Amino acid sequence: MGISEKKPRELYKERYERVMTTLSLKEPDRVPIAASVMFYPTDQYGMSKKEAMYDIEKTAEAFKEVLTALNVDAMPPLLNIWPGKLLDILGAKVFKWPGAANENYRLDDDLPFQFLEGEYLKAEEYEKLFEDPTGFILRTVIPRQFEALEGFSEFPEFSTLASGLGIMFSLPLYGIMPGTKKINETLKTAAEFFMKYVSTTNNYVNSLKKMGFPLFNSAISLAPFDAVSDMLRGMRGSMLDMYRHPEELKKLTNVFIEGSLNAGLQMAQTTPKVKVVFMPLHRGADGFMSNEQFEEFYWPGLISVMEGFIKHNLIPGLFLEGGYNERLEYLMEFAQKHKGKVLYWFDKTDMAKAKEMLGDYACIKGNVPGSLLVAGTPLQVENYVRKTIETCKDGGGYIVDGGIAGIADGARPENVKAMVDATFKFGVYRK
Amino acid sequence: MSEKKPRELFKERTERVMTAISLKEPDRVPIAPLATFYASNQQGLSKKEAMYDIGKFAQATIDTFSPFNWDMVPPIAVMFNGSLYDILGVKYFKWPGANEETQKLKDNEPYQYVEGEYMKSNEYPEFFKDPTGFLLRKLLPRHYSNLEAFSDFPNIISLGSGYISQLGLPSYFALPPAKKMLQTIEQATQTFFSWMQVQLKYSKDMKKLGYPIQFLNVTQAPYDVVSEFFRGMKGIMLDMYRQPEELKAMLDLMVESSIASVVDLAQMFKENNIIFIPLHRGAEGFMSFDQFEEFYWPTLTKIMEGLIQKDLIPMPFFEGKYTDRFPYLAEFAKKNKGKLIYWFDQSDIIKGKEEFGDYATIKGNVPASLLVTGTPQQVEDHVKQSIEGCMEGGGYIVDGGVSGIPDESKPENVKAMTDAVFKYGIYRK
Repeated sequence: MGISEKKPRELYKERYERVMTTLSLKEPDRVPIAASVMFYPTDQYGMSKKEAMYDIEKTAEAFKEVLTALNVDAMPPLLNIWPGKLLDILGAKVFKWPGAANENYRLDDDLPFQFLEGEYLKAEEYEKLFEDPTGFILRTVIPRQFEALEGFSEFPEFSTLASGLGIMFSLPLYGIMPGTKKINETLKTAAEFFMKYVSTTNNYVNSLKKMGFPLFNSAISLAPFDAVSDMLRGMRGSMLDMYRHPEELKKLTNVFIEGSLNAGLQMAQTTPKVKVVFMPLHRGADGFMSNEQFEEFYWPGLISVMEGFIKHNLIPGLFLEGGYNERLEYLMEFAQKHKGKVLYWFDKTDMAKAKEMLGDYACIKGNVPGSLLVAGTPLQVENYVRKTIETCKDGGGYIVDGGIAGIADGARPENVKAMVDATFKFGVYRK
Repeated sequence: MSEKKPRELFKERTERVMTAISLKEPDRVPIAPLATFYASNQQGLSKKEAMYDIGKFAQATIDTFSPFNWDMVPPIAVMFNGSLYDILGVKYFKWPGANEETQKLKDNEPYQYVEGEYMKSNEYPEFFKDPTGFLLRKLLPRHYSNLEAFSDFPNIISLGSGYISQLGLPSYFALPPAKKMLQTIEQATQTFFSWMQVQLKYSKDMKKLGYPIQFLNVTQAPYDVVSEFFRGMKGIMLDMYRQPEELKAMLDLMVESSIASVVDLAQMFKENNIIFIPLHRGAEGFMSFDQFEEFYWPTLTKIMEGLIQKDLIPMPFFEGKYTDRFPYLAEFAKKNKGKLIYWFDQSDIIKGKEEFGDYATIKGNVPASLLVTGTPQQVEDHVKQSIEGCMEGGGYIVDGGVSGIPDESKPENVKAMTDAVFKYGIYRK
């Protein structure tokens, strides 16, 4: 029976199991291929990046149309394309993106969104944050990150929240502040938008299922160090802190362990069958810090979060952006303790070496280079995929995908097709 | 005197009190009583009405107290707002007329605290890890049935990471419980502000009659906050033995923000710089000297110092007996001469005058028992004796003991108390 004659329900099951089998380090019928993306589908669909961020329903259509035609085994969630409207409502000051309502944060219509690094937490503020993490973040950090939430700076003093006598004044006084009124309106609008957004993503997931395609991941979580570096201390700040405030930095990283875990668990609950939690790593790559620093600052917090997911029967799927060739020992050590329960998605790491060191313990994914997909020829792509499959397929535990961000935004369709075809051609374990 | 304009009277009265506080002799010993339900009782309002119709309560207060020619009149803010309690679903009080059966008292019973372990003895570590987080997610839902949705308030990374919080915050507020809670807070805000309007009108009305309001701003000793709203009396007393370090750390945490919230509010009430601090658990019999010195007094004095630095006048109300604690009070007063009021209930104020009369103003303490069940003559004698014992050099203000004028006082006794001040309290004509 040819594939095309199978019912979507059967195809869904087959694809889902193909991925789950390989994650558990057994050989399925064929090496699975997962298509991770950012703007590739919307580019192909003729949408600007601004349109992609502001018309999520159309983006969902683009994802379905462009990616299901490729017959991949697992589909990406929509969440990598951030909703521009929501960023406008919140008055985000931490990104620039195409079409932002505030021109200070606006990029051209066809530029991808960018992080605006900054010291949203200052070095001298560590102690204040430790004394009262939620309070400090609410009253000090959020107003720096979101213009429309600046009123949180007036959030009632700690002691008045605690005291029944105090709160009778403080809560209403807070309620009447102009900033609070704006927050309430903002949160109402944001919440309404969010509900629409959720129904769009739910529709997307449901219609994929009807078409026979499972989702690869729905939850996202962060390495605690990245949470600190990306959005609180900035890259420069966190790097200086490794020298100047090492204890504070470690302590702050620890503060985020439980939150990172819980945020991921909450998101994962929405799609119980989807086991992979996407964890894009930023500062842990080779060249960002030494192995000693990685071992001291980066890895311990990340391990705690990963172990939390594993305990809850989820699979942490690290996206190891950049090169992790120098860190393979650490990845191996962790995988040995959690055999078949972790996924390593590589970008510029040597896959042969990765397979050799990790292959018995962890599923690996990747890593067709963005440069090849954008600027290469179909034959070059085919050769790359073939070589990687031959190196990695043995015993299961390998999934084909692109390197950085999966299928690069500017990828040539014929190269993407070549990547998929090569998987079907060279990835078969048994007929 | 009756020919003076209200504006002049207002100024004169304010200055009389301020002169006494700065430990100089004014023309007369000032009288500035507090009261809770006395005025509404006198005007035939039930306690339920007083708590639910603040406009009527304000009028009752004006009608009852404006004839007395006092130097400062009681604020109506001491009357808790029944409607606001209903909206928030307060669980730590019972009061007359509450919506919830579990919190409801009879129409003519005064409100009561419901003591409880709102924070459990094993929750100190969780509290210290993230105090505001604990308050929002754990304590508020236990204090207020209509703020229970705070239990799901976004976690720390959903707040702290810009790209998780862009979804985390909206997703929290998109859920029906949080949506409803926002409405509750809005409703509470509106109720509070219509209540505030009445407060402001009351202040204006009293000012037109020439009367300053005694205070509009309140704070508490950290120990009392922890006792009443976290651990309960039993819990905190056990903690002094079983978890003394945790308890002290928690008390310390209250200091800075207590000062900040009072200072914030004080900017709204520029004519009133007296800060009322009703004390509950520090009295004799509640704890030993050692415990008072270790747990109760240090954070209270830090708050008072903080207020004094901001030119505010702390007025701790020493409910119960504090005579044996006078050495502590004296020591603090010496460091803050002329900058505070000690209001006493059952303490020996004449002894107090000897021990710290050169440093602190004393207020009080006509006994409730006398005002409720005594004769006018007995009241007069008591006031005379207190004035004679305390007036020298300024630094004395007449008031009742517990809660000022007790709810059930006889009007003739209140009059006798007032008249005695005018009769015996003159420094100079």
